[in-house]
Amino acid sequence: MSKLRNAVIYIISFLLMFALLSMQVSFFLKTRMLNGSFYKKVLGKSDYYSLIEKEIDFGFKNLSMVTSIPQEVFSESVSKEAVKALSYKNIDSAEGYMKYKGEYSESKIDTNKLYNNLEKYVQDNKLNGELKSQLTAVAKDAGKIIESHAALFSINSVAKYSQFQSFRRVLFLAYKNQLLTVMVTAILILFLVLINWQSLRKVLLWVGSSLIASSLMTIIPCILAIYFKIAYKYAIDIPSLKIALRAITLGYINYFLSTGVLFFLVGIMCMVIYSFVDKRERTKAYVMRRKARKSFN
Amino acid sequence: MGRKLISKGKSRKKSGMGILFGIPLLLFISGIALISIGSYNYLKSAFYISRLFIQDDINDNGKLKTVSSNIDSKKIVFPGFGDKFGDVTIKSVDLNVPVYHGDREEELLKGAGHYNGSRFPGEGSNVVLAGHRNSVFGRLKDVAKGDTVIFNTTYGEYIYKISEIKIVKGNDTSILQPLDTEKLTMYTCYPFDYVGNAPNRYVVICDLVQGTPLKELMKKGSGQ
Repeated sequence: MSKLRNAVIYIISFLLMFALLSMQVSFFLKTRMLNGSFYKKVLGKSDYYSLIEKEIDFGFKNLSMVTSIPQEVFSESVSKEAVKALSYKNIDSAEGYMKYKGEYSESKIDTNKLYNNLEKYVQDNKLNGELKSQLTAVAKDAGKIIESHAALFSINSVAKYSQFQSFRRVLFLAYKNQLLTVMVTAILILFLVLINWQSLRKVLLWVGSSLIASSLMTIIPCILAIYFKIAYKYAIDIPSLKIALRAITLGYINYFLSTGVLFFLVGIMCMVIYSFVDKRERTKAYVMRRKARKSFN
Repeated sequence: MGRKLISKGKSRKKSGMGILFGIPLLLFISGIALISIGSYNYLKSAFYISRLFIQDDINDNGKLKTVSSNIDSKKIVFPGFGDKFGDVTIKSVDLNVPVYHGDREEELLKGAGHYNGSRFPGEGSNVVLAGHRNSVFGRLKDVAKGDTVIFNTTYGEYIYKISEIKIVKGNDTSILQPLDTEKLTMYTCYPFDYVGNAPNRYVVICDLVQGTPLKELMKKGSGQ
């Protein structure tokens, strides 16, 4: 009977470990992966926007070479703020899409100012009619340079794949069911309390064990990722994208490492308390037994 | 009796520690085992896919490391994508431009870009170079048939003679096609003084006059 009881307790602790892990993942989705503010914050702290600016300038320099139109005509038409706002719009759009709040659409830059500047350049330099007919196309090309750099997530290129849609569905389910993971965790702990009703300190032992085991499941991969410098090894030669991915990966690792350490410390605390209480209870029982023996003698 | 009690106390302490460390460890190991068994195929695929994006043979600039070999006790470097690997000189028009492997914006802003889908000098096929008309290839408009073009690469010098100059449509890809004999094709946008997206391409085609075929260089390199 006792063995069966222990087996049941072990299974509940095992489930509790997964429930705690799910809870970490679910909160990770809410506060990190599916949270636009997280991306805006980490990208803002990194060199992402200054690199985007350089890359756009570079694109304009190339367009200037191709079209023989001075680079300033393009670069003076777009402000840093407009690029940042476009990038924010894209992040919000991607967030909404992943959360099934709407369809994803890559935001477009307003090319009116570009067009007007180009038109002014044509008028000032009294250029031929052929360039005039190309103004819309050139303004569109310049707009595309900005748009391609301001879109961190290219959802449109992966949305058509069923694997991505499955991934999206799973993420959304995990994101949506945070409360469920908390409730399941609470119910499992309640089961442990009920089973160990006569010796409640053991609940601390099992809950602590589950906390430590679930924390190891996130701490170990994080330590490996840090050790192997995964965030620094992306084989991408677009500097802004590389920096963005590095900042995002480090943000993810940071989350799992901190929640893992928190769970680990709480688990250790449970174990220490259990150890003290158990020792005290045993000493108490021993003293009682000795007293009883003495009085019997 | 005393010793028995001490050893009993020690073993109880040991089993207590065993429980404290053993249960979390056992839970962790069984959890990892379950995850591994349940998602082995997914993990395997994820690992191989991740190898596409996370590479160890990447240098600090995010580029693949270049391959080098020793030929005639001289270190010869074959270029990686985006690397400079030579210079093109046409003395008759005072043109001297660096050549980079690849013809993306990055390479074209620095010099002439070697089209990745074409061959390297010495490979016996079409070597295609692109450049901007208002920077590196601006002087192409002054070249004439019979002019000498010297392509000095990191692995040897190749001398060509201009055999044909033509103007093609911007979307004409025939100039990029592989050939049975070695030719150097240099092209830029045309008209040279056009403002806007130029509709045509100015193409200069050259025949190989002198240069060691790459096959021979490779043989020397491998000591055959």
